[in-house]
Parts: sequence; structure tokens; C-alpha cells
Amino acid sequence: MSPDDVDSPIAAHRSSGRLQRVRHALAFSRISGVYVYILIVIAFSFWLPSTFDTTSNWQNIAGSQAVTAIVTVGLLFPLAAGQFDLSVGSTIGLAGMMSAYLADHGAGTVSAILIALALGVAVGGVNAVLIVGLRLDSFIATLGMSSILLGITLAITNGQEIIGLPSAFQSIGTTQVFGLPIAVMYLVAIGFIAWWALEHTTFGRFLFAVGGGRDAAKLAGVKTGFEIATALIVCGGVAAIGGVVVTASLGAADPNIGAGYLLPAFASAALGATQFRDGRFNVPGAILANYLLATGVTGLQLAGAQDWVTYVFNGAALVVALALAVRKGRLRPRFGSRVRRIRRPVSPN
Amino acid sequence: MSPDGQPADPTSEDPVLRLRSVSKVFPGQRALDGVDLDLAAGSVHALVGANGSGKSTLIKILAGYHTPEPESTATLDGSEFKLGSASAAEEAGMRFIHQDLGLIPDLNAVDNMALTHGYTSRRFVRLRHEARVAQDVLRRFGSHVDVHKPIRELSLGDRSVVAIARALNTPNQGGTRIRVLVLDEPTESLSRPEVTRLFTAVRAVAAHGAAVLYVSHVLEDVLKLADVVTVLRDGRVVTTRPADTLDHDSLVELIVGRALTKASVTVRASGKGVALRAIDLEGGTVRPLSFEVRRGEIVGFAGIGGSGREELPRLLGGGGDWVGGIVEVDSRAYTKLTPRQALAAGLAFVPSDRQTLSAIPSLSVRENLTLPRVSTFGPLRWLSAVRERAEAREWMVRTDVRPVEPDRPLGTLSGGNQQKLVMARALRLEPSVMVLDEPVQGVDVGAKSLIFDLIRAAAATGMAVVVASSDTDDLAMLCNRVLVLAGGHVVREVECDGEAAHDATEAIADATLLPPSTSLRASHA
Repeated sequence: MSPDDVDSPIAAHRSSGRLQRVRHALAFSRISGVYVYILIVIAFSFWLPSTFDTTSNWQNIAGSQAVTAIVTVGLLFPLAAGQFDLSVGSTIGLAGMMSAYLADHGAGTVSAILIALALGVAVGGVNAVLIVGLRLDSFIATLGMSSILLGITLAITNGQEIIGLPSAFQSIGTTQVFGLPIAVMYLVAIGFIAWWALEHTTFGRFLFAVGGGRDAAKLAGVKTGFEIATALIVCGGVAAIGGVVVTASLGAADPNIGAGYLLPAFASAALGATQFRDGRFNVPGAILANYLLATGVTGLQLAGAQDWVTYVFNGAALVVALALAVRKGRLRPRFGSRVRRIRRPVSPN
Repeated sequence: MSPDGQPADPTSEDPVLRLRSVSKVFPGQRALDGVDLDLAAGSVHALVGANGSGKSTLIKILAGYHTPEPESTATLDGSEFKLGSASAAEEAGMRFIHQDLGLIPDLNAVDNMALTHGYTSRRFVRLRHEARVAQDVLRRFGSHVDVHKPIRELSLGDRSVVAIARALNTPNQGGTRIRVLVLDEPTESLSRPEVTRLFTAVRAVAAHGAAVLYVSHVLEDVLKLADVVTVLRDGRVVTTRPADTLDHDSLVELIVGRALTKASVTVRASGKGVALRAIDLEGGTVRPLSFEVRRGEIVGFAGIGGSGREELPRLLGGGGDWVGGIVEVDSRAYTKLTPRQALAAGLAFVPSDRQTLSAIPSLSVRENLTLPRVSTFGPLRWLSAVRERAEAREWMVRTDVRPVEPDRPLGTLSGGNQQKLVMARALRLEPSVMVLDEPVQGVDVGAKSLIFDLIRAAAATGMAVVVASSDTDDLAMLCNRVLVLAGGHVVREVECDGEAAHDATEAIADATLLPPSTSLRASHA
């Protein structure tokens, strides 16, 4: 034990109270994303005063990115439990296509939505059976699932798009609330619920425990299988919501739309984990990271950049952000799904 | 910088490795402060100190994992040696066996051994030939492990033999002789015969003219093996002395920097009722096994590897493969226990492996503390970090976990502090029965005496405690009764009262068919 385990500098550090805490809360290493975001906004506002810093542009960014953010928030659940879900993209595509197909073939808006959501939950359920029941590696299981779902999605319309959806259906994606697309409201609601579930319920705590050490969690009485299964089902369901919302707001269903959401969702979740919560996946971080990437991309596009820039920007942002964090010794990305930030040990022994 | 000015080198020769004013500063902490150390050829030099004293930092600097502060210097065989470079250390003939062994669990012994010095076949790896070579090497260390099995499936003892064989078996063609061999806590998971084999191997390395740096908490081993002992405290060298001028108690006092208090509470099994009863319990290495533990009693389980000693705590805690039998907790019978059922029944299980079983290093201290029973409030079962933090702080003070920072990731605490926290977690559940597997493995002497006090205090409140340990001295010191297991059965029951601790140690050790690990602790009796 040795009373000397604690050094005086650390004791002093601890005692200096509120100012210290505020400084910690605003530290660059903790919320670098916020500062970078402000920087990006200022830079583009000066560069493109007539197009970037306009109400319509902000509305556009908020709306177009809300679906990605919703999907990212859902993805946090399996990631927290140490599981990948690579089928989120295909789940978006399938749910979107299914809801459009039903709406197009005379089903009521409500039943079209509910069936699509049930489908998403079912996808999560199948993932859970594969990963918890058959003990497959989540990376492989959901990678396979992703391809299967894409195939089914293509089969529904033989690869064709569905356009000209009923306006009642479209309204769930195109309505404006407080001048913002309704998708933003969905994001706020889902984000709040997810934040509560992850941070302030036993369920959420257990998820992180499973992610941190499955055997240890099990011995501490955590129902690890239940936790992982629930996380996958939540992720599937939330991805389906994203699929329905994006289909409704576009007024058309494209079977290939899902693929574009996969990388931004993972990138935002990982990047978000470097913000606010010492390397732990968290809702505010994920949403911040999402909008940070989207704002950057939008600014570049307004400045006349080509389409491919989006991909390069998203990928580069992810790699650079992680690299910077690792260089500072704050982030220790481990193989698997965990991205964590661990302070230097007090006693390196 | 030995304060008492003792010469570091017992022989007249020049040292193989000479370290001067080695320092290392981590953010907010000076881990090493001007350490001088001379390692002589042919001598085994022990490095001891409490958790957090800087031992590991020093080794990591030697291994090139940490870069020391610029004022640090080193010479190897008289010429300048650059600290902080792994390849330089390797080239200079320094070999390391780290506590976590550095083996890759999914690869087998052949491949793990090839990781450091390559396969012997050229161009095309002839697996059967490689396996034979690895087998020969291991046999030289008295090991007959299946070289085709992934390391994951080997016992801890077998794993360390593989690691040691790998470090010592440097092929000669490269021309590097082993100049310095560093062993970090090598005997932690070894049985006595394996320890003896290891010591023979270490002495052989030293006899060939290499310097050996041996880091360990197991003071008996240190006193038995080492020629010279250096004690570190708070990153400084307290003293460097020939081992034969030291005994267990004087070494303990040097390590903690004060005289240790002797066992403070003596608990006698009170006449209260039976808290835990196992009837024909069976599973894994445990053959039908029956025993009782009364309230307020501390019962130890001794035995060699494979005797059922490792399996029993897991069965009781719900983590084992239960085959048959009944366990009664507070007179309620269970025919199978999952971890959840065990907790609900009033059994708190503290597994031995802190990295993967007893705790979650990436979660904060407070989250680990409350994991088995998260406290929530209000109709929404809201989980409040603020309330949790306050509760955690209370427990950390009560069990002396330092620093008292509930939000620090558990993995950043020293081993002793992690173990104290894991104990706090079990105590917080107020169980009827506490099942402890190797509760003081890998913790320093100070933390150990504190953990023992916690266990005794818990028993004094009427808790029944089951302790499984491979350390017979610890069991004799802590327990009211020790059951010695062999082949899954109880072969001997030893009563330990404070006065006859030494006799008990001998009796337990005899019964486990092992030589008594030491008689040095006799002074405690």
C-alpha cells in the first residue's frame, strides 16, 4: 500500500477545486472537436460569406445530417458492448425500401412505417442470434448480414428505385418544425433517450462493462448475452428509423442508399469517443463529430469541390483525428471496437 | 545514491551494467529519481519495492519502452549504452521476461518462440522440425507442454516456462551473448517445483557470466535466490545490500519504510451457525467435495495446481462447470449457481485475475465498485454519477484505495490498489459468504497486510470467508482452518491459531506434498 503511492503534485492537483474542473471541462484535449468546429465555421464564413453562413445552408446541414447522426447514435449501443454492427447501412436501405414499397402499394403510412421498423428490429434480432446464440464474431456475422440484406433490398424492386411516394408518407420526413427539418427533432428525441439509456441506466452501465471485459462482467452478475442482444436490436431498430426518415424526406427509395451511411456512422462514433468522455463512446460526442464532418464537407462543396472530396474528407478526418489523439498519448485504439483514452498511470508499476 | 552509502557491487570486478542517476517523470509524478544501480557479472541482483516504487518503470526503461530523463546514463561492459531503445537493448544482449510474459495467446509455443528469434529453417518453415526444436528447448527447462496447443490453453505455469525458455534460448549464430537477464515477477503463477526449475535456470545464466536482475514481491524467493538486494521506495534507492545481511522482516521494513504491525485482530470461529455448506460438490478438477464454513470463520484451501484449489472458488462463485452436488448458503440449497444466482444467494466471489475476471480495467474505479449492484433512485431508476462518486469515495477511504479519485480508470491504479478496490466491491455487497481466489497475489506487503485486516474485520462481523491460495504462509497467517486439497478431495484439515502459525505452515505444506516454501516467516509466530 505504502502511503507514498500518491505523490504530492497529484494531491495538490486534486485539491484545487472548481477552477480546475472548469479548466478540465474546457481542455482542448477533451473537447478538441468543439474548437475545431468553431474554427471550421469561422473559416468558411469568411471564405464564403454569401453561401455558407446562411439560414438555408444551416437548415440544409442540420437536415441532411440528422439521419446519419440518428444511425450513429444507434450504433453506439453495440459499440459500447464491444460489438460491431456493419449491417447498419444495409438495414437503412432495406427499411427504407420496404416502407416505400408498402406505401407505394397502398398500405397506410402508419403500417408501412411500423412494418419497416419491425423489420429493422428483426435484423437486429438475427444479428443477436448469430453473435450471442451461435457465438460468431460480430464483425464477420454483420458483414455477411449486410450483404444478405442488400440482396433482399434489391430483390424487392428488382434493383429499381421507387419514386413518387404518397405525400402523407413523405410528410413524416419533409415537415418543418421551428424552421428545421423534422429529422432534427427525431435526432434530438432519439439522442436524448440514448444518452439517458447509456449514461443513466443500469442497462447502459452494463453495456460498457461488457465492452470492457465480457468475462469480468459476467462474473459480476451482468447478463452479457442479453446486453449484447438488446444493443444489436436497438441498433437495428434505430437504423430502420433512419431508413424510413431518409426515404420519406427524399420522396423516393433507392436500394443502394444504405452503403453511404456506414463509414460516416463509424467515423463519427469513433471520433465522438475522443470527445467529452475520456475515450468512451458517447452520444454528444457522436453527434458533434457527425456535424463537424458534415459542416466541413458542405463548406468544401459550396466552395466548388467535387463529389469525391466528401469521401476523402470523411476518411482523412477520421484518420487524422485519431492520429493526433494517439500522438498525444491520450488515445489507445485497440483492435476490436473499443477506442479509449486512458490517462497515464499514477503508479506505472 | 544509496543514502546509507553502501557499495553497490559486492565483487571487485567492474559491473556489466552500470546505471547512474536514472530518472523518469510522468505527468504529475516523478516515477524514478536518480537511481544508481550496478549489476555484476555472475550475480543475481534482486530489485524489491512496494507497488508504485518505480520497479516496473526502471525495467521498462531498460527494455526501451520508456525514454528516461536526459541526465540518466548507463554503461554496458564499460562502454556507453543508450537507454530507451528496444533494439539497442536487444542487440546488447539484454533479455526480458515481463510479468505478462508477452506471449500471444492464439499462437502455440513453437510460433511464440519463433517470434523473438525466428524459425530455424530457412526460406520454407518446416513445421514438424520447428516443433521438435521447440520441444527440445522446453525439455531443457523440464517442461513437457504440448507445443502445438495455443498458449491460451496452457496453464499459467506452463506459459511462464515457455516465456522463460524463449528469452533464454537465444540462438548463438547471431553472436549476441546474454549479458543481462531481467525477470519481472516470474514466480507469480508458478508451482514450487516450477520455481525450483526456474531458479536453476537463472543461476545457470548467471554462472555463464551474465548479470541477472530479478524483480519480485515474493521476498522468500528473493532471499533464496539473490546475491544482492536493492530496495526502491518512491523512485529512489533506499539501500543496496548483500542478501545474506537481510531477513524477511528487515526487508519488509525497508520496503514500507516503517515497522509493520503484526496481525491486529485474531478471530476465533464463533459458535454461530453454518453459513456455507458444500455437499458432494463436483465439477472440473473438484471431485465430490464436502465441507462447511461457519459464520465468522475464515477457511483456507491449499493444494497444488490441479488439486481442485483453482476450480473450487469458481464453482462457488458461479463461474465454473458445475457437474453435481449441492451448495447451501444460509441453509438455502442450490444445485447450480450462475454468477447472478451466486450473488443473489449472498455469495460474493473475488476471482484472482484482475485483468480479465475480477475487474474491468477500462471502467472507472466507481463503476467497478458498483458493478454487481448498481444503485439507482427514483421511479425512472436514474443512475447518478454524483451519488455514485460520493459512495465510491467513502469506500476508497475505508479500504485505503489511492489516489481517492473515483473517476480514474481502474487500470491506471497499481496492482495493490486494484485488489483493495476489488475487495471493497465484494464487501459492499454485504454477502453472507465471501469467496476469495488468491486475494493477495501480486500485491506488495503493505497492501497485503491491509487486505488481511479487511478480511479479518469482515469475518469479525459474522461473514464466512473462503480463501483459496497457493501461498501456504498466507493461509496459515490468515485462516482459522485450512483444508488441503489433492485430486479434488480434502486430504487434510489443519487448525491454525495464531501461536502455531509456523507449525501450520509446515503441516499445510507437507500435506500439499510440497516443500515448505520457507521457514523465514516463523518469526511471525
